[in-house]
Amino acid sequence: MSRTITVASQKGGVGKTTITLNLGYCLGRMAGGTLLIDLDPQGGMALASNLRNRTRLGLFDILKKRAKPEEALAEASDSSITVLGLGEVAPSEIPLFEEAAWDGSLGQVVADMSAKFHYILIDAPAGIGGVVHAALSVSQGVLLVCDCSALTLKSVPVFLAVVEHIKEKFNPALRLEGVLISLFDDTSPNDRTVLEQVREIFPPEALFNTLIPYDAAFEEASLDAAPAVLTDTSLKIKRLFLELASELRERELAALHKALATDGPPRLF
Amino acid sequence: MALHDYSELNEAAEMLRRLLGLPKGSCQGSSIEHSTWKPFLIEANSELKTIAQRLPKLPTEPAVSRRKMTAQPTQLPNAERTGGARGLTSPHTTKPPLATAPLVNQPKTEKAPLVEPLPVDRSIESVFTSDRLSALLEAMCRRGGFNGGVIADGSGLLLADYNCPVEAEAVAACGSVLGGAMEQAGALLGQNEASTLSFDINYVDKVALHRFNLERDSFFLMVICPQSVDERSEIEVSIEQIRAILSLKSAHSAFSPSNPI
Ligand SMILES: Nc1ncnc2c1ncn2[C@@H]1O[C@H](COP(=O)(O)OP(=O)(O)OP(=O)(O)O)[C@@H](O)[C@H]1O
Ligand SMILES: [Mg+2]
Repeated sequence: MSRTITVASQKGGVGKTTITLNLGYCLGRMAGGTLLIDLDPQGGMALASNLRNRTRLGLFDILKKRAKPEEALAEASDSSITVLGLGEVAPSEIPLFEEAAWDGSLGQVVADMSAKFHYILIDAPAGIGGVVHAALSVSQGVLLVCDCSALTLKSVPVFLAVVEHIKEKFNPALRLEGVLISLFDDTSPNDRTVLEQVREIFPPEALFNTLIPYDAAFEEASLDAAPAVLTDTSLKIKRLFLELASELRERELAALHKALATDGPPRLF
Repeated sequence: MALHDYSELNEAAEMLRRLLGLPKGSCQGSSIEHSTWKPFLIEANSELKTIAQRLPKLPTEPAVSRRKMTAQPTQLPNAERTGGARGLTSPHTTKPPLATAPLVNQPKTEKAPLVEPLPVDRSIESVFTSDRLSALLEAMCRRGGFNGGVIADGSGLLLADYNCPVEAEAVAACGSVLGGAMEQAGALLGQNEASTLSFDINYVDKVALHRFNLERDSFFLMVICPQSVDERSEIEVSIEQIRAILSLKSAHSAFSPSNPI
C-alpha cells in the first residue's frame, strides 16, 4: 500500500525541503520505492537535489500534457529515490497552476503516482494556500515542521485547523504523522525553553522524538546541491535521518495497531 | 523571544489530541512522559515488536530447503570455510561458479530492482528493507540453531534484530565498540583483515560479531548462539544476503554535482 505524506509548515524557511530530501533519501534506502514531489513554485527541491541537471520537466508539464510522467520522473543514479519537480511554470501560467490546485487536477496527478511507489513525500510550499490544500487532500499523512521560534509555534493552531477541516470535508484518510522540531539550536536559551514548553504541553504522541538540530552541514550540503546525509562525513546526519525514518515507520505501525484495535481483527473478506 | 503566553500552545495541544484521537487532556494528560527525551526506538521498541507480531502475517511458505538455499548464487566466492556440523557446503552442494557469485556486484541492467529477491523464506514478500533483514535473521537463526541476531551499521545504529535476549539497541551499539577494538587488535597483530570476534557471555552462550563492508560503509552482524554451534559458514552466507538487501551503491554517487541525478 502506498502512503503519501505532505511535509508542510505554516512558516517558511523552517527546513521542509531539507527534511523531505534527507528523510526521503533514507526512506528510499530503507524501504525502496520512494518518490519526492516538489510542489513549491520556488523549486527548492529541484535545486537541493540537483534535479535540474537531469530534467526541467515536472508535474506542471504533466498536468498541461506537455510531458508524460515517465519523462518528468527522475530516478537518482543510485536508485535510492525518484524525484518529480514542479517543472517550468511561466509567470503567465501561475493563475493556471493555482486553479489546478483548487479544481483537483493537481492532486489527481499526484494521486496517479501512488500506484508505483511505497512512499510519496510532498515538499509543500509554506503556508496554507491552495497548493497545500491540494496536497493534503490527496495525502494519508501530514508532517508538520516547526522551528522553535515563538511565532512559528503560535501559528500551529491555524495550520492544524486547516488539517482538521480537510480531514473532515475532503479527506478522512488524512492523519497527522506528527510535529517535527527543526533548526533546533541547543545553545540558544530560547530554543531550549520553547522546546521544554512544547514537550510539556503537546501530547507526546504528537511530537517526533527525533529532533533536527541546527547544523551548518545542511547549508553546506545545499550549496553542493546534495542531501546532507550524503555529504556529511561524520555519520551524525545520516544517523539522525535514519532514526527519523525509523520513527516514521514505527508510528505507522502504531497507528495500524490502533486501527486494528478499534476496527476489530483483520478480515480477508 | 520566549513564549509568555501558552494559550496558543494549549490550543494547539487540544487540536493535536483531537486529530490523533486522544482523550481530552490537561497539560500533562498523556500516557507517555517526555521528561527524559529518549529516542522513541529505545523507549517503545518492545511495545512495537509486540504490535509487529500481532500484525496480519502473510502465509508462511514451507522453509526453503538448505539445498535450495545454497544453490542460489549468493555465496561468497572465497567462502572456503566449510564450517562444522552445520556447514552449508555439504557434499551435495556445488559452489556457484565465480562469475555468478555476488548479487550486489552485478552490473545494473536497465531497471534492476534496488533490492534483489532473496532466497529466504517469507522475506521475499516484504517491501521494507528492515523487515527483509529481520526475516533474514529469523531464517538464519532457524537454520543455524542460533538464539538471536542483530544487524547494525558501522556507527552502531540498529538496522534489524531478531529474538534478541537483551535490548537490541545495546547489542547494536556493542558492535561499534567491539568492531573498533577488533580493528585495533587486528592492527597490533598485523592482521588487518580481522573481521570476526567471538566471546562467551556465560557458560553456554556466546556472541559472535562479524564485520563486513559494503562499498565504503561497514556493518555488523552479531549472533547469539550456544557455544557448541559453529556459526561461521551460516553467517558467511547470511552476510552475502544482507549485502544483497542493503545493496548500497557508492553513497556519494547519487546527487553530487560531478555525478548528477
Ligand atoms: N537543520 C538545519 N540546520 C541548518 N540549516 C538548515 C537546516 N535545515 C535547513 N537549513 C537551511 O535553511 C534554509 C532553508 O531550508 P529549507 O529550504 O529546507 O526550508 P523550507 O522550509 O523548505 O523553506 P521554504 O518555506 O522557503 O520552502 C536552507 O538554506 C537550508 O540549507
Ligand atoms: Mg522549501
